Formats: sequence, structure tokens, C-alpha cells
Amino acid sequence: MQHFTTVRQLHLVNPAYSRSVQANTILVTGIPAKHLSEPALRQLYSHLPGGVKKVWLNRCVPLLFLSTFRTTVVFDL
Amino acid sequence: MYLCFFCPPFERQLCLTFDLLRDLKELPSIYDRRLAACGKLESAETSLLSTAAKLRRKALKKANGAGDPSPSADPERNVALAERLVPREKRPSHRLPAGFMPFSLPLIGKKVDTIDWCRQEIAATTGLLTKGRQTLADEGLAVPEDVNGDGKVDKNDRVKQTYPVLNSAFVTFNQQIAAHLAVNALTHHEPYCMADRYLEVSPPDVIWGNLGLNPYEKRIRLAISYGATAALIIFWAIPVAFVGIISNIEGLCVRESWLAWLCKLPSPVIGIIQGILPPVLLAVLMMLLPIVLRLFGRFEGIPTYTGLELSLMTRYFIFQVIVSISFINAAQFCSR
Repeated sequence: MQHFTTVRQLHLVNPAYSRSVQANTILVTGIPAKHLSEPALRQLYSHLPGGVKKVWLNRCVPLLFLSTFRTTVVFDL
Repeated sequence: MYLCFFCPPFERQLCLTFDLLRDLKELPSIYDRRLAACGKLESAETSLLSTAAKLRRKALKKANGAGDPSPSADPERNVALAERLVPREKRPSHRLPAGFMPFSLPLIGKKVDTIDWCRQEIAATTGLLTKGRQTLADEGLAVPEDVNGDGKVDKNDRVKQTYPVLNSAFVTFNQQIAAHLAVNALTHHEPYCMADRYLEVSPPDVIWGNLGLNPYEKRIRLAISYGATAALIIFWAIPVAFVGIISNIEGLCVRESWLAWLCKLPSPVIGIIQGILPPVLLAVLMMLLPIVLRLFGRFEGIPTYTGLELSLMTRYFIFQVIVSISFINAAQFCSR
């Protein structure tokens, strides 16, 4: 167990990993309507270290782009 | 709705991303339909090409007797040629599901040419998806305000949108420690509000269908899913006991008079029933269990696949303890 904990910590603090988006992203669920906007959430988390430099909303769907690409390929068969 | 990781690396250090999730309603199912049609079209084209190649080889053999088609005239390079070579009735076809049924049956339903049908389906779904995405882009995201003037901002104030915002968000922080702090700190004073926070999420790991659940609904689902797990574990004993009975046919036909015919079977049959059948049945039962437990976990509203696997581990552990230890010990105790 101690070995597992050490390995996990080392993995988490590994600079290459800790810079990745996955390491810095959290998923929050059950947000009340009042906080359900980008400025409200930014304000809510503003006290955390790091600060806010840029905020943006997006609904881009990489998978769908892939599928479009695939569709064109299939059509070209 | 998808979390976009396209920001350049120098900006990624500085940026904080928010992604409010929206209820996409029918769009994901349209997308699935298109993906299925693409896969079907691909396999249909492949089978068309292989039929064409076979026909061509046969024709060449008939023509010059030697039969070794030159690679330059390879029909696989040219779909138009393949379509000319293969007669209409030899093209791949399938049947559409008849009426209300979700799947197609071998003899009922309209028979369609797979390639033509897939092309139409892909075109139709692409049109629908483009329209949906356009609506999504046009509507934008509204900042919640006290619209109905009752002094508080709640879900009644939401602007009517075709694809409303879901009650969850992805937040990317500048520093890793901020993400960990945000997950561990109590965020909201009301019960269950923003209570479920998940660390280290990545798009392929997310179960998109479970992102818009009401926290109270989630608690009820948790109770139901564990109740169903308990019922499943208890009733799983019935098939397991049946397997145990099968493995002891020789004792069974002596004890039960109406099963005496079993002993009159030829010995290889008894050997197969006693020797091979029980382990196979048991293996199938044990294989089915994680699938069912995973369905329960998904029903519970876990939003990541890793979380789903962890919940499966918990349930499977409970199952192992109860069935493998308790039931077997009880059976041994009773048989004494």
C-alpha cells in the first residue's frame, strides 16, 4: 500500500504529467442555476492558486470532426 | 459539448477553461446512427470489392485459360469499375427493421441495397447534425439572471433554449494544486450542491450521458442500483445451485425416482453433462455478472469510466464474499 501511494504521488508530481490538461481539469456536477455560468464559476474558483488568465466557452466536438473526415474517406472509396 | 484541448501549449499554462455542458437531446443518437451507417458502408464496400475481384478472376480464367490478372487492372483500385462488374442482385443488401422493432429480422422488412441506403443515411444524419450544430452556435450561452423577479436565481429563470445547459462543468486550472484543492474543498453550502467533483477527467473517459443528473436523483439512483445489486447477488445463487446439481447427476438419479432415466443415458453423455457442462455454465455466469454490474453502475450515474470500473470492483467484491464464501459454507453445512 505504501509503495502504491509513493508511486502515485511520484506520477502526480511528475512535471510532464502535472502540466497536462487532464491533471488540471476537474469535473463538477450538480451546479445550482445561480453558478451555472462562466463568470460565476470563475469568481467561485478565483481564490485558488494560479489565477485566471483566460476564459472561454466552447462546444467543439473533435470526435465529430474525425467522423466527418472518415465519412469523406468512405465516400472516396 | 466536448472539452476542447486545442489551446496552444504556451497558452495552456495560463488558461483556465470552462466548459458548461448542454443537453444535446437527440444529437448524440443521430451521431451514433451516422457512425453505424459509416461502419456498415465500409464493410459493404469491402464485400462489393471482394465479389468484384472474384468475378473478374473467374472471367479472366475463362477468357485466356491462364488466369493471373495483372496488378494494374486490379478492381480494388476502382470502385466504379467494381460497381459495373458486380450485377445488381449480387450487391450487398440488408433488411430494414420492420415497424416498431429496434432490430431487423432475417425474413421480415424491406430489403435495401446496403451501399445506397448507407449513403442516404449518412447524408441525412450529416444534414441533421449540421443543423443542430448551427443552432448550438447561434444560441450561445446565457448568463443566468433573475428573470422572473422572485429575488433568487434558480432553474425557473433559465432562458428557453433548444439545447439547454446541463448542471455540470469542466474546469481547467493553471496549476495542478488548484485542481486538487477545488476537488477537496467544500464548494457550496447547500446539501448535494456541487458535492460530486471528479479529478483527472479526460474526454475519452467521460460518460456523456451521465453528466446532467440532478444530485437528488443521483442519490435515489444509488439506492436503487445497490438494491438491484443485492437482489442480483441473492438470486444469482439459483443458477449457481443448478450448476452444482448438474455436476452430481449420478447421485441425483439414485435419489430422485423421476430422474432415473438420466442414469440410463450412455456414459459419454453423462460424462459431458457432468464434466464439461458445469464449468462452462459457471464460466458463462461469471462472465455475465460484470456486464450486468457495469450496467447498474452506469444507471447509478457515475460520470467516468474509471469510476464505473471501481464501482464494479466494489460490487464484485461483495458478490464474491457473499456467494463464494457464505453460500458455499452454508451449502457444506447443510449437506453434513
